[in-house]
Amino acid sequence: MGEAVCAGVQIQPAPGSETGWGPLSALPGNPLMWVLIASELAVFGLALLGYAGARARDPSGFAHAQDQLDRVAGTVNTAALLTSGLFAALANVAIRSGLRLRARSLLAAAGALGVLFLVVKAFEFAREIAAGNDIDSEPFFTLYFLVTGFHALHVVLGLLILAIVAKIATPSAIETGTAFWHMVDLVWVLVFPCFYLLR
Amino acid sequence: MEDKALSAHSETVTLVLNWAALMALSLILAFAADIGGAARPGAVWIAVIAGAAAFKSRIVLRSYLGLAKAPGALAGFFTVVLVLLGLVAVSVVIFPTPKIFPTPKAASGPQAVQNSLIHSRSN
Repeated sequence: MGEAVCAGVQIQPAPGSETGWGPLSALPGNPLMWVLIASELAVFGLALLGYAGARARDPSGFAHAQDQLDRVAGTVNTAALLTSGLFAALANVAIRSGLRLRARSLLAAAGALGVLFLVVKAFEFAREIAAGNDIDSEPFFTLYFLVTGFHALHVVLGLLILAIVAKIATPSAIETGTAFWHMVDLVWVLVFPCFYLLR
Repeated sequence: MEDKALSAHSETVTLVLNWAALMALSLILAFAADIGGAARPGAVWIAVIAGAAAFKSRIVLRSYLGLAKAPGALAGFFTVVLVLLGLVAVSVVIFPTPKIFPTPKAASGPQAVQNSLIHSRSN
Protein backbone atom coordinates (compact mmCIF):
# COMPACT_ATOMS: atom_id res chain seq x y z
CA MET A 1 0.00 0.00 0.00
CA GLY A 2 1.42 3.39 -0.90
CA GLU A 3 4.35 1.89 -2.86
CA ALA A 4 4.73 2.33 -6.59
CA VAL A 5 6.47 0.08 -9.12
CA CYS A 6 8.10 1.90 -12.00
CA ALA A 7 10.05 0.02 -14.70
CA GLY A 8 10.35 -2.90 -12.35
CA VAL A 9 11.85 -0.75 -9.53
CA GLN A 10 9.91 -0.52 -6.31
CA ILE A 11 9.72 3.11 -5.14
CA GLN A 12 9.42 3.67 -1.41
CA PRO A 13 6.96 6.39 -0.40
CA ALA A 14 8.37 9.52 1.22
CA PRO A 15 8.07 9.50 5.02
CA GLY A 16 4.57 10.54 6.00
CA SER A 17 3.15 10.30 2.52
CA GLU A 18 1.43 6.99 3.32
CA THR A 19 -1.14 8.95 5.32
CA GLY A 20 -1.59 11.53 2.55
CA TRP A 21 -0.51 14.44 4.77
CA GLY A 22 3.18 14.53 3.84
CA PRO A 23 5.33 16.38 6.39
CA LEU A 24 2.21 17.35 8.37
CA SER A 25 1.90 13.70 9.48
CA ALA A 26 4.76 14.24 11.91
CA LEU A 27 2.65 16.73 13.87
CA PRO A 28 0.64 15.56 16.87
CA GLY A 29 -3.14 15.42 16.41
CA ASN A 30 -5.10 16.00 13.22
CA PRO A 31 -2.99 17.82 10.58
CA LEU A 32 -5.96 20.04 9.69
CA MET A 33 -5.83 21.48 13.19
CA TRP A 34 -2.25 22.53 12.45
CA VAL A 35 -3.37 24.29 9.29
CA LEU A 36 -5.83 26.19 11.50
CA ILE A 37 -3.14 26.91 14.11
CA ALA A 38 -0.79 28.30 11.44
CA SER A 39 -3.62 30.46 10.02
CA GLU A 40 -4.53 31.81 13.45
CA LEU A 41 -0.89 32.62 14.19
CA ALA A 42 -0.72 34.51 10.89
CA VAL A 43 -3.88 36.50 11.72
CA PHE A 44 -2.77 37.44 15.24
CA GLY A 45 0.77 38.05 13.99
CA LEU A 46 -0.49 40.57 11.45
CA ALA A 47 -2.66 42.20 14.13
CA LEU A 48 0.40 42.62 16.38
CA LEU A 49 2.43 44.06 13.52
CA GLY A 50 -0.46 46.47 12.87
CA TYR A 51 -0.33 47.39 16.55
CA ALA A 52 3.42 48.07 16.30
CA GLY A 53 2.80 50.25 13.24
CA ALA A 54 0.04 52.25 14.93
CA ARG A 55 2.16 52.67 18.07
CA ALA A 56 5.08 53.99 16.01
CA ARG A 57 2.88 56.93 14.97
CA ASP A 58 2.02 57.88 18.55
CA PRO A 59 4.31 56.33 21.22
CA SER A 60 3.19 58.84 23.88
CA GLY A 61 -0.51 58.23 23.37
CA PHE A 62 0.00 54.47 23.41
CA ALA A 63 2.13 54.60 26.58
CA HIS A 64 -0.49 56.71 28.33
CA ALA A 65 -3.27 54.33 27.28
CA GLN A 66 -1.19 51.28 28.28
CA ASP A 67 -0.74 52.73 31.75
CA GLN A 68 -4.50 52.61 32.17
CA LEU A 69 -4.66 48.85 31.64
CA ASP A 70 -4.97 46.60 34.67
CA ARG A 71 -1.68 44.69 34.58
CA VAL A 72 -2.67 42.55 37.57
CA ALA A 73 -5.78 41.34 35.71
CA GLY A 74 -3.62 40.61 32.67
CA THR A 75 -1.19 38.61 34.81
CA VAL A 76 -4.03 36.67 36.47
CA ASN A 77 -5.34 35.83 33.01
CA THR A 78 -1.89 34.71 31.88
CA ALA A 79 -1.64 32.41 34.92
CA ALA A 80 -5.17 31.09 34.29
CA LEU A 81 -4.47 30.22 30.64
CA LEU A 82 -1.05 28.69 31.30
CA THR A 83 -2.43 26.53 34.12
CA SER A 84 -5.37 25.59 31.96
CA GLY A 85 -2.88 24.57 29.27
CA LEU A 86 -1.12 22.34 31.80
CA PHE A 87 -4.41 20.58 32.63
CA ALA A 88 -5.14 20.11 28.92
CA ALA A 89 -1.68 18.62 28.35
CA LEU A 90 -2.12 16.33 31.37
CA ALA A 91 -5.48 15.21 29.94
CA ASN A 92 -3.54 14.06 26.87
CA VAL A 93 -1.20 12.02 29.04
CA ALA A 94 -4.14 10.54 30.96
CA ILE A 95 -6.12 9.45 27.88
CA ARG A 96 -3.03 7.83 26.37
CA SER A 97 -2.71 5.83 29.61
CA GLY A 98 -6.34 4.76 29.25
CA LEU A 99 -7.54 6.93 32.16
CA ARG A 100 -10.69 8.28 30.57
CA LEU A 101 -12.35 9.70 33.69
CA ARG A 102 -9.12 11.43 34.74
CA ALA A 103 -8.75 12.89 31.25
CA ARG A 104 -12.30 14.22 31.36
CA SER A 105 -11.77 15.74 34.83
CA LEU A 106 -8.58 17.45 33.66
CA LEU A 107 -10.37 18.84 30.60
CA ALA A 108 -13.12 20.14 32.89
CA ALA A 109 -10.48 21.86 35.05
CA ALA A 110 -8.90 23.35 31.91
CA GLY A 111 -12.33 24.61 30.83
CA ALA A 112 -13.05 26.11 34.26
CA LEU A 113 -9.86 28.16 34.05
CA GLY A 114 -10.88 29.22 30.55
CA VAL A 115 -14.15 30.51 32.01
CA LEU A 116 -12.16 32.36 34.71
CA PHE A 117 -10.13 33.98 31.92
CA LEU A 118 -13.33 35.21 30.26
CA VAL A 119 -14.74 36.54 33.53
CA VAL A 120 -11.56 38.51 34.27
CA LYS A 121 -11.49 39.80 30.69
CA ALA A 122 -15.13 40.90 30.96
CA PHE A 123 -14.29 42.83 34.18
CA GLU A 124 -11.32 44.43 32.42
CA PHE A 125 -13.47 45.48 29.45
CA ALA A 126 -16.17 46.84 31.77
CA ARG A 127 -13.58 48.78 33.76
CA GLU A 128 -12.05 50.33 30.64
CA ILE A 129 -15.43 51.27 29.20
CA ALA A 130 -16.50 52.79 32.55
CA ALA A 131 -13.30 54.87 32.49
CA GLY A 132 -14.31 56.23 29.06
CA ASN A 133 -11.88 54.07 27.11
CA ASP A 134 -14.14 52.45 24.57
CA ILE A 135 -13.33 51.03 21.14
CA ASP A 136 -13.59 54.48 19.50
CA SER A 137 -11.75 56.54 22.09
CA GLU A 138 -8.12 56.07 21.01
CA PRO A 139 -6.23 53.94 18.44
CA PHE A 140 -4.66 51.93 21.29
CA PHE A 141 -8.04 50.97 22.72
CA THR A 142 -9.44 50.20 19.26
CA LEU A 143 -6.63 47.67 18.78
CA TYR A 144 -6.83 46.47 22.38
CA PHE A 145 -10.55 45.70 22.19
CA LEU A 146 -10.28 44.15 18.71
CA VAL A 147 -7.27 41.92 19.37
CA THR A 148 -8.06 40.83 22.93
CA GLY A 149 -11.78 40.55 22.08
CA PHE A 150 -10.96 38.34 19.08
CA HIS A 151 -8.70 36.27 21.33
CA ALA A 152 -11.52 35.97 23.90
CA LEU A 153 -13.77 34.65 21.11
CA HIS A 154 -11.15 31.98 20.48
CA VAL A 155 -11.28 31.09 24.16
CA VAL A 156 -15.06 30.63 23.82
CA LEU A 157 -14.54 28.43 20.75
CA GLY A 158 -11.80 26.53 22.60
CA LEU A 159 -14.18 25.84 25.49
CA LEU A 160 -16.68 24.41 23.03
CA ILE A 161 -13.99 22.20 21.46
CA LEU A 162 -12.81 21.02 24.90
CA ALA A 163 -16.39 20.05 25.77
CA ILE A 164 -16.77 18.11 22.52
CA VAL A 165 -13.49 16.20 22.85
CA ALA A 166 -14.22 15.48 26.54
CA LYS A 167 -17.46 13.82 25.42
CA ILE A 168 -15.74 11.78 22.69
CA ALA A 169 -12.71 11.10 24.93
CA THR A 170 -10.47 9.27 22.46
CA PRO A 171 -6.70 9.91 22.34
CA SER A 172 -6.79 11.46 18.85
CA ALA A 173 -9.80 13.67 19.63
CA ILE A 174 -8.25 14.98 22.86
CA GLU A 175 -4.87 15.51 21.19
CA THR A 176 -6.48 17.51 18.39
CA GLY A 177 -8.82 19.50 20.64
CA THR A 178 -6.15 20.41 23.15
CA ALA A 179 -3.86 21.53 20.30
CA PHE A 180 -6.39 24.30 19.58
CA TRP A 181 -6.46 25.20 23.28
CA HIS A 182 -2.66 25.46 23.38
CA MET A 183 -2.76 27.69 20.30
CA VAL A 184 -5.03 30.04 22.30
CA ASP A 185 -2.36 29.92 25.06
CA LEU A 186 0.40 30.65 22.60
CA VAL A 187 -1.41 33.65 21.14
CA TRP A 188 -1.96 35.09 24.63
CA VAL A 189 1.75 34.62 25.42
CA LEU A 190 2.40 36.94 22.44
CA VAL A 191 -0.49 39.39 22.95
CA PHE A 192 0.07 39.98 26.68
CA PRO A 193 3.60 41.47 26.52
CA CYS A 194 2.78 43.57 23.44
CA PHE A 195 -0.28 45.25 24.94
CA TYR A 196 0.58 45.27 28.65
CA LEU A 197 4.36 45.32 29.02
CA LEU A 198 6.25 46.58 25.96
CA ARG A 199 6.46 50.38 26.07
CA MET B 1 2.40 -1.75 31.00
CA GLU B 2 4.95 -0.64 33.59
CA ASP B 3 6.90 1.18 30.86
CA LYS B 4 3.73 3.02 29.85
CA ALA B 5 3.08 4.13 33.44
CA LEU B 6 6.69 5.21 33.85
CA SER B 7 6.56 7.19 30.61
CA ALA B 8 3.30 8.87 31.69
CA HIS B 9 4.88 9.76 35.03
CA SER B 10 7.97 11.30 33.44
CA GLU B 11 5.78 13.20 30.94
CA THR B 12 3.70 14.56 33.83
CA VAL B 13 6.81 15.68 35.72
CA THR B 14 8.18 17.42 32.60
CA LEU B 15 4.87 19.19 31.99
CA VAL B 16 4.64 20.40 35.60
CA LEU B 17 8.24 21.67 35.52
CA ASN B 18 7.57 23.51 32.27
CA TRP B 19 4.40 25.01 33.73
CA ALA B 20 6.38 26.18 36.78
CA ALA B 21 8.91 27.86 34.48
CA LEU B 22 6.10 29.56 32.53
CA MET B 23 4.44 30.83 35.70
CA ALA B 24 7.69 32.04 37.23
CA LEU B 25 8.60 33.96 34.07
CA SER B 26 5.13 35.51 33.81
CA LEU B 27 5.04 36.64 37.43
CA ILE B 28 8.60 37.99 37.44
CA LEU B 29 7.93 39.95 34.25
CA ALA B 30 4.67 41.38 35.54
CA PHE B 31 6.26 42.55 38.80
CA ALA B 32 9.34 43.83 37.00
CA ALA B 33 7.09 45.77 34.61
CA ASP B 34 5.84 47.85 37.53
CA ILE B 35 9.39 48.74 38.53
CA GLY B 36 11.39 48.65 35.30
CA GLY B 37 8.58 49.70 32.98
CA ALA B 38 7.87 52.84 34.95
CA ALA B 39 11.48 53.97 34.70
CA ARG B 40 11.43 53.17 30.95
CA PRO B 41 15.07 52.02 30.79
CA GLY B 42 14.86 51.40 27.07
CA ALA B 43 16.29 48.73 24.81
CA VAL B 44 17.50 46.36 27.55
CA TRP B 45 14.10 46.21 29.20
CA ILE B 46 12.37 45.70 25.84
CA ALA B 47 14.81 42.90 24.94
CA VAL B 48 14.17 41.20 28.30
CA ILE B 49 10.38 41.26 27.79
CA ALA B 50 10.58 40.06 24.18
CA GLY B 51 13.15 37.39 25.12
CA ALA B 52 11.00 36.11 27.96
CA ALA B 53 7.93 35.99 25.70
CA ALA B 54 9.94 34.08 23.08
CA PHE B 55 11.15 31.61 25.71
CA LYS B 56 7.59 31.11 26.98
CA SER B 57 6.37 30.56 23.42
CA ARG B 58 9.04 27.92 22.90
CA ILE B 59 7.93 26.06 26.03
CA VAL B 60 4.29 26.14 24.89
CA LEU B 61 5.25 24.94 21.40
CA ARG B 62 7.63 22.25 22.60
CA SER B 63 5.90 20.92 25.68
CA TYR B 64 2.19 21.80 25.53
CA LEU B 65 1.75 21.47 21.76
CA GLY B 66 4.04 18.44 21.65
CA LEU B 67 6.34 19.75 18.92
CA ALA B 68 9.34 18.22 20.69
CA LYS B 69 8.44 15.16 18.58
CA ALA B 70 8.55 17.23 15.37
CA PRO B 71 11.77 19.30 15.51
CA GLY B 72 11.30 20.72 12.01
CA ALA B 73 7.87 22.09 12.83
CA LEU B 74 9.12 23.39 16.19
CA ALA B 75 11.91 25.30 14.43
CA GLY B 76 9.46 26.69 11.86
CA PHE B 77 6.84 27.87 14.33
CA PHE B 78 9.46 29.25 16.71
CA THR B 79 11.14 31.19 13.90
CA VAL B 80 7.79 32.81 13.06
CA VAL B 81 7.29 33.75 16.73
CA LEU B 82 10.84 35.12 16.99
CA VAL B 83 10.48 37.24 13.85
CA LEU B 84 7.14 38.58 15.07
CA LEU B 85 8.35 39.47 18.56
CA GLY B 86 11.58 40.84 17.10
CA LEU B 87 9.72 43.18 14.75
CA VAL B 88 7.44 44.47 17.51
CA ALA B 89 10.37 44.93 19.92
CA VAL B 90 12.53 46.69 17.32
CA SER B 91 9.68 49.06 16.49
CA VAL B 92 9.38 49.94 20.21
CA VAL B 93 13.15 50.59 20.36
CA ILE B 94 13.10 52.74 17.20
CA PHE B 95 10.03 54.69 18.34
CA PRO B 96 10.58 54.91 22.11
CA THR B 97 8.14 56.34 24.60
CA PRO B 98 9.31 59.82 25.56
CA LYS B 99 10.37 60.19 29.21
CA ILE B 100 7.70 62.84 29.62
CA PHE B 101 4.66 62.40 27.45
CA PRO B 102 1.60 64.64 27.20
CA THR B 103 -1.66 63.28 28.56
CA PRO B 104 -4.38 63.07 25.89
CA LYS B 105 -7.22 65.57 26.06
CA ALA B 106 -5.03 67.80 28.28
CA ALA B 107 -5.12 71.52 27.84
CA SER B 108 -2.28 72.94 25.82
CA GLY B 109 0.33 75.24 27.36
CA PRO B 110 1.74 75.19 30.90
CA GLN B 111 -1.15 73.06 32.26
CA ALA B 112 -0.38 70.25 29.78
CA VAL B 113 3.29 70.27 30.76
CA GLN B 114 2.36 70.19 34.45
CA ASN B 115 -0.08 67.27 33.83
CA SER B 116 2.52 65.25 31.99
CA LEU B 117 5.09 65.84 34.74
CA ILE B 118 2.60 64.70 37.39
CA HIS B 119 1.75 61.65 35.27
CA SER B 120 5.40 60.83 34.73
CA ARG B 121 6.13 61.06 38.50
CA SER B 122 3.14 58.87 39.39
CA ASN B 123 4.64 56.11 37.24
